[in-house]
Amino acid sequence: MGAHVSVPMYRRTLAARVGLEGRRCDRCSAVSFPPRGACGQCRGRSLTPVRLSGVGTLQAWTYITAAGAPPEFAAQVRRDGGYHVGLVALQEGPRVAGQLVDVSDPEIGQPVRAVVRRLYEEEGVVRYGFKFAPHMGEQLPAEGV
Amino acid sequence: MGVAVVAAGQTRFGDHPTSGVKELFGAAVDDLLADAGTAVDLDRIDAAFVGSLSCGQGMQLGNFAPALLDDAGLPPVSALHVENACASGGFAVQQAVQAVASGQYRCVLAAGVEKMRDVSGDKGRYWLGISGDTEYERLAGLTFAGVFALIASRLLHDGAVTREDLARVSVKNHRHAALNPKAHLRRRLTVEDVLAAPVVAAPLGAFDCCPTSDGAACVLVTDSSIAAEFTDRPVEVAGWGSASDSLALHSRADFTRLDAARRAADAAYAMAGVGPDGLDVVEVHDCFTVAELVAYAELGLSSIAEAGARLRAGEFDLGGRLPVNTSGGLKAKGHPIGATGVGQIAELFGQLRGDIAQPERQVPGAEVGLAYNMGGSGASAVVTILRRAAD
Amino acid sequence: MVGLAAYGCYFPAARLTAAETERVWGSPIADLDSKPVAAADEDALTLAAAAAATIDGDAALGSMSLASTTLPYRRRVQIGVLARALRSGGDSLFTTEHTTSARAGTEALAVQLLAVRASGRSGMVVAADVASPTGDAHRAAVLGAGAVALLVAEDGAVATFEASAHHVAEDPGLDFVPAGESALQDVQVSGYTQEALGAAVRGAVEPLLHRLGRTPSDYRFLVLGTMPGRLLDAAARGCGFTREQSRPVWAFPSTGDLGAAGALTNLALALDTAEPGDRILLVGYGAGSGADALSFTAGESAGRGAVARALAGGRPVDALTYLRMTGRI
Repeated sequence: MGAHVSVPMYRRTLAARVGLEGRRCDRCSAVSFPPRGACGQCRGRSLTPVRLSGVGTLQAWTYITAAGAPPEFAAQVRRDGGYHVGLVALQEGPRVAGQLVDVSDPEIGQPVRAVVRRLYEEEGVVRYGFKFAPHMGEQLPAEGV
Repeated sequence: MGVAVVAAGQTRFGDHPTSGVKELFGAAVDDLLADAGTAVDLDRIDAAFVGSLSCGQGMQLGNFAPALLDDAGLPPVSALHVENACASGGFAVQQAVQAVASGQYRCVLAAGVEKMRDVSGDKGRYWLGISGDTEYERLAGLTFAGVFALIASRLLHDGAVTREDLARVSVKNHRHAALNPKAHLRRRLTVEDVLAAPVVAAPLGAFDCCPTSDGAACVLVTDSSIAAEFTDRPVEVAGWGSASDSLALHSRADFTRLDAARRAADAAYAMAGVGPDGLDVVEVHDCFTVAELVAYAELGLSSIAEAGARLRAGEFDLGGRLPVNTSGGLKAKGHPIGATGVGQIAELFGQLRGDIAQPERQVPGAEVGLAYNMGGSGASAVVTILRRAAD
Repeated sequence: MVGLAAYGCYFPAARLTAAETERVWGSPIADLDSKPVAAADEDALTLAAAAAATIDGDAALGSMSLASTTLPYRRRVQIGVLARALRSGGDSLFTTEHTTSARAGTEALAVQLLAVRASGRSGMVVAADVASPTGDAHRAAVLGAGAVALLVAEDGAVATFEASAHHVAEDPGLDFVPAGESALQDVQVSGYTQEALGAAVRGAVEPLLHRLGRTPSDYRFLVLGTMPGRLLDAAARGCGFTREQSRPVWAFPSTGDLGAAGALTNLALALDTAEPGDRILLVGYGAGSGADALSFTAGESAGRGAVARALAGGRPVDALTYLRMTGRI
């Protein structure tokens, strides 16, 4: 299987990748994102979908050069050069890795917000998903339920 | 029931353009047979476990272990392919040890093999990182270099380690590898060389990353009661442990820690009845320089905060208080994925028997050794403690 | 009254400036000070999602229309990713996609005004275009990238909709892409181009003014597309409007040609500057030809500075970077 994310596999994750849908534990209320089969805190298996704000804080970052990029990202590197990837703690609790856009000098602790971008194209199918942009404090959509 | 390692063999790790997995496996078996200190009859093997990630294309994937045994002329016994990413080899050893400890088998071969240098750069990069979290980390554009760079980024930010500390891991392991004819990268490096290397995933540069290597290794594990029939200097498997963790860094409670390693080590220490202070030589999984520093903490060799100072003081060098990665480690001996964990055991086997051919590489009087092999970015970990058998 | 309840824009951060264009190509492009350049991971859909995200979440959308001439696919429904991003679509979301000309933006708006009036539920219009790396260099030089989103609701607090009129004609050879090809083509006869534009705009504007019993001087702004200034002035003059009514609501100098998002971006600029009660005449023109004219009155909530805010903080790129980002080297 390798690292190939098939089209059906990509489709199954669209609610999370584009709609930022996580799961809230029915037992301990902890939010998991990306969604998982059991609560990351208490391992409870009864979970309810929850929409996340996409707002969070940068906890770590790296800059991936052409030498470090998986080949799926070669087209992006050819056009835009290397890219930053960050580990973001979302305000609802969970942490997730995502590329950072429109940053030249990321700082651990800086607020970020999720945006929808192209991840890459394979089999002629564009894979869309969240990345993170600096959060300037503009008005944000209210947190859903 | 006691378990012993009675023989070990390995190929040189590195480029083997004229060898495939079968030839590499065969060469490791030949190396095991060539050891003057052992007398091995391969027909006594009852079972085999072969660790491999089976990277790349153009090789046998299904029925991998039977194919290797058949080609090498080993007896047609129960043979199983073991896969736990970069820890495949270490888990193959553990399976062999447990198979003997269970009493079902008395003589089991544990092997590991990987053929990584047949594929193009792009395909190689494709396969690197397939053992990470492919759905989210990988789709964020991360391979393992990027994942470990995130750990390093946070440790540097928190002041737990310095960039020079990371470089010193590489310098030390290259210095050790320069003495090891089986090592892939035998060039000595300076801290300045490491810092000046091209960036792969900031803050990690090319010399913070292990190479992709071809290679194979094997060890023969027996019931202690028959060990003397193979060698007069068997090495006892004193303790072992293994554990799992979330694949993705983002799912872990503390993403700068490798918790599976700590839990595997705790189990192995408890079983062996020794602690970190009882060790004489250690092989750790240093796929990236930062991984070795974190390993010190998980294995109880040093706190993260003190790791840099201890490294600077030469504590983990050959000749130091506790030599780590006398083989050169993954960083410089090389990282033929499935072979790596088995190669660690082969290195300790040599060290504990006092058999290392290069006197400056031999840890004098080493009695207890520990090997720590990790899968991916720490989703699986296996720790094995070996002890020189009492005379 | 049905109208616009909210609006917002998005422009990619990278900017190619007139100074850089002049340095490398020897002369600046007429009227263009700077234009946004999309990153490799942006396309018309991600631009659209970014513009839509600037509008406060209203999960109860009943309809949504997308306008773009540069969607990533020629055939397939594509608004779904936008619905996903807006967490909408669960309960009967009526959607349309408008893709064949720069008029797509006003087509989408006209459809949403109808839909909201019919359903009583809110509707969203999102228009986005991104410079395509194919096509002739002269044309590509003015193509920008950006997106605009409008929330249409029964209570148009930003602007109320009064009436519309529409025009269609057959003007071959202008700004077209034949089936199976990707590059923009044009007969490049400037007098013909200008005449066809003028006729189409007049064809929509005159019946609307007549129906409302108004003259051009009743309007503060005439909002046209992001076309070069020479064409803008000619089109305004042709239906009795002045430069003072159209130039202040013309984003082209800082955005370049935004295609299907042009007229609605200019509308956003008009809403940013309008005082309550100001009348705004919006005209969308698509080569081929068709034109939509829609009349609005600015409400209390206009004047939010959305365009200026979205354009703020750009990052200049050099010409080589620009060519690399647009996939030409």
